[in-house]
Amino acid sequence: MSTLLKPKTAAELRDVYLRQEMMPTIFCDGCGLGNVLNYTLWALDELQVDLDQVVFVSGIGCSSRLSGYVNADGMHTTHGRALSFASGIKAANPNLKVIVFTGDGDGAGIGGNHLLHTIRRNMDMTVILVNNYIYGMTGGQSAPTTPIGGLSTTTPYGNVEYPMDICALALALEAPYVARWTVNQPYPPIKSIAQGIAKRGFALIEMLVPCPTAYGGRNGLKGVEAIWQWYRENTVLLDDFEHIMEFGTLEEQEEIKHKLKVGVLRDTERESFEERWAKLVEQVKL
Amino acid sequence: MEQTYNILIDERWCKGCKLCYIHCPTQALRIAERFSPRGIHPPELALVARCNGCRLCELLCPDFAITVTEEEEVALHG
Repeated sequence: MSTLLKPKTAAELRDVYLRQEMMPTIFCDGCGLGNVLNYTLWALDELQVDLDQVVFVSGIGCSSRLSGYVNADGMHTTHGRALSFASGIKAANPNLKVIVFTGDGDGAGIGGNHLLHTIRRNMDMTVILVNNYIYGMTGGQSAPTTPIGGLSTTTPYGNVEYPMDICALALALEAPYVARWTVNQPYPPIKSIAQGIAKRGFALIEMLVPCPTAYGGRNGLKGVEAIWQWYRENTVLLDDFEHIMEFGTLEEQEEIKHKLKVGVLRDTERESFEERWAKLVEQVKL
Repeated sequence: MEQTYNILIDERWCKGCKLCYIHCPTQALRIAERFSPRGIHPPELALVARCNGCRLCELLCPDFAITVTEEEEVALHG
């Protein structure tokens, strides 16, 4: 696995990609958002992308602070509207690589409609949607992804609404690249984010990130170790899931049935908005 | 000949979340008794011989505070 990454160190990585004066990050102890930033930077390093050709866009929330730490052009936009701004950037200059950091409350809750239509349009961008099951920055209100029974400040007796599966939504709208990862293992998300950035068309990478402060503390997962362990125990690799469902015993199948599937859920080719637009321009030219 | 590794911790950036300590596959790290300038107990490499240089702590650190370096190769006698 060591051949995957170029022989560079974190110290060299941060000199190239980070705004040193912004560090250290504002995130709480045990938050996985720093890891998401770390993996994205390693993915950019793997692809050897020129930082002047990358634009980071984000909305509002803990996850949306990430664009401010990268030493590249970026926009910190209004709540839920990151994808609309990103679509505008991409339409104005299709040569730029657009990476969107958004959260579950920002991208799937308040900006849910923008998410639908940006996927439908198949804009060529990479969306790293950080899912921590809660509105963390505003004080722990329940989000569209909060599991049934999950405690939050707005659901003090437990959540009764069914949660939303963001990857299933993207699959239904035929996004060409859909993946879901936890932050527990570094290598698979790094590889996946690199694939997403290289993909022509909409790439959605849902990162399951532990929030020990707003979610973990209220839901019996107090402390860094407990909540990170929960993610390790309640997820199963897609390949393992399929393998066990086909060849495993009944007990093994029963054990993994309720678990979240992580992995690359779809990787296909689909003509992006820019390609179709360029064709149309060519067609109607006088 | 045995390759040994050293772990450099940037104490200005380390928040003391202990993720490196929790995840170390060989339990080579420990949390120091002393305080860093930020007022937390930083991690440190306790057992140099155990560290196999997998760089998991470096990749998992949310604050880019850890760097794993390769030490000069030391010739073992006998």
